Amino acid sequence: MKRFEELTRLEQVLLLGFIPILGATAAVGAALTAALVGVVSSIVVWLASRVIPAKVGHTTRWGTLVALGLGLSYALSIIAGYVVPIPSAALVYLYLVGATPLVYVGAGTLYSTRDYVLVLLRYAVVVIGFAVIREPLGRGTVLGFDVWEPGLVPVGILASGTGALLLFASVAFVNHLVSDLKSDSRQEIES
Amino acid sequence: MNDSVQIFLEFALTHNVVFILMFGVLMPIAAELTVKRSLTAGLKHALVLALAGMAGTALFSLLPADSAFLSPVAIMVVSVAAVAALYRWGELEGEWAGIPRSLLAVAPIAGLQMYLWTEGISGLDTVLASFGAAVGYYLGIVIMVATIEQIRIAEAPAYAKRIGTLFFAIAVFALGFTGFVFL
Repeated sequence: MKRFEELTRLEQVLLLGFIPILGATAAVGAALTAALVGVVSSIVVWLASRVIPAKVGHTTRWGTLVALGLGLSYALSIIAGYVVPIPSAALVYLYLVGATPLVYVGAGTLYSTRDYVLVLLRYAVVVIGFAVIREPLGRGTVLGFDVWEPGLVPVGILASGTGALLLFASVAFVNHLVSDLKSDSRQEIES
Repeated sequence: MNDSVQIFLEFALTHNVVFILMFGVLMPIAAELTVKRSLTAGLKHALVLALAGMAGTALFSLLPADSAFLSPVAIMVVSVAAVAALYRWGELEGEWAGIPRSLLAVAPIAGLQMYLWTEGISGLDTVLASFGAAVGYYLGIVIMVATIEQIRIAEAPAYAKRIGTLFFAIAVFALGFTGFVFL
């Protein structure tokens, strides 16, 4: 396994946002909520990290940020539950968006502000992209409306957690297969 | 089957918070371990998870019914304290993705308490469920570390030795665990 810094951009986003990507993408409505809650929580934690002075100490700083991230994502998920129809199975994952590394990565030391914004954008695209694949294929609906002709049976496993893991693995596998092939061909041209 | 044994086994396998919610979090936790070290490190993680599950539920039960919405505050307090305890115990030191590695343990610890709260589990069932989840968490860590080591030493092309393959293996485990639904 490579170190985090050596992973491709897509692999980094998959690992940073694994909880909502796996759990809240069985329906497009839940995925839109997960994207919004994740991005808003992350930006608020990032802003808070700029306000908290370094002199409070490492443990206090991160303890405060974790409490803020968990509390905010929980509150936003509850509010979203009244606005958007979200499957109950996805709600627990939405409550836990605040435990996802993505929420804290802006307060960390790895990314510049520009890269951090790009990570958030990629996360939103990945979450919504997973849902756009999983809901029609796994449930036969988009935003709750039937899209398949009567008689066709959806690929039910894609709507389950195991299906999410399989899709997650497939995306990561294809991503590094393509990236390795590109780097091989670049090396051949250079040599 | 005895009800107590059933709750214990369900939370160790089919209702295990790690397997159903966050198998992925184990990857960065496990990536720094060897199989030999995971045997003891996993015990520390599992014990903290079990104690946090029980402490969190004890705190919820102290809240009056009309203040149940404050339960997430209890979850936050217990999770931060549990992660601090793990850190003091010498686990999850250093950084991952520019953030403290100890933050990675928040997800399973808060997840278990959240799950116990949303499922309305209380009393002796909490103890059984927490220790069942801890057993599953321990198994998850050891399985993950062993799988990473196997992938690392496998004679395979470079693209097949990265996280895609690991998550395929995890998906196969997930399929296996769903086979325990007869419990």
